[in-house]
Amino acid sequence: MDGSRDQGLYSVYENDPDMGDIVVLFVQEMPERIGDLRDALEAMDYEAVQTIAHQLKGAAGGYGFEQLGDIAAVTERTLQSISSTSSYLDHGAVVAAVTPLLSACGRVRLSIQQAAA
Amino acid sequence: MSEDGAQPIATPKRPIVLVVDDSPLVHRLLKARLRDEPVDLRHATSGSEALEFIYSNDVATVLLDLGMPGMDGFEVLRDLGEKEATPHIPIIVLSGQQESQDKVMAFGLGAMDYITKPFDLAELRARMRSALRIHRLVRMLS
Repeated sequence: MDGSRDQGLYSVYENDPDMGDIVVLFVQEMPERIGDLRDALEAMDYEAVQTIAHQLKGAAGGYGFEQLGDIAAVTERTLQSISSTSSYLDHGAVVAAVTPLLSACGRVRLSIQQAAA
Repeated sequence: MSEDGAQPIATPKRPIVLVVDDSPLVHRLLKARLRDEPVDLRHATSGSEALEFIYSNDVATVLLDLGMPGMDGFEVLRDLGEKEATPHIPIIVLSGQQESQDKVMAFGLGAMDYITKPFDLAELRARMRSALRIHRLVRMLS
């Protein structure tokens, strides 16, 4: 479980000597990942949206952000369900499916000690 | 060990484990998590890059993602299965695709094992060691 403080999502591996550096990178790259997700949504590039959700589902838990991985998994499943039940993709439905993931990505943080290091 | 101590002890070559995944997040994670394993971890970000590496290097085990743009993991498995030079390389599929039909197809195409993401580190290590053991044994027999 992620430690939730101030609604932030924190990695359980932040102080792991093998993982600390890459957890920091994961968090530092998050604004770019959020930008990519927003850009893909705006461009209606649903394949790219799906890819980002799929990659976060597979990797976030490994970086200690289990809750983010779970949310990405739900997003991916919802997107698959939307695309399998309709011959065209309802943009509003896609946005609704991706919004919780965008919100979770925005709450990914480093603890104060790590951020200051 | 030699008595005069002058002869350096040859360090055994570490077996090459190739990680094939289009996500840099996965490469970075495995590099950190498998740091202590006695393997030479290499990385490919596409199916075609993986095949090129496998056909020109002595690879002991492959950790293969399935869902990649361009040549996907299934095509990699198919290609390796068709080449007589590579049937002894154990391939562990490491995929976010959890459907039974994907697993059945991967095993049908020659995968030795299938791990779903997110993966448990201890389990991945155990399965990788098992694959390396099998590779070593097959090598000794052939």
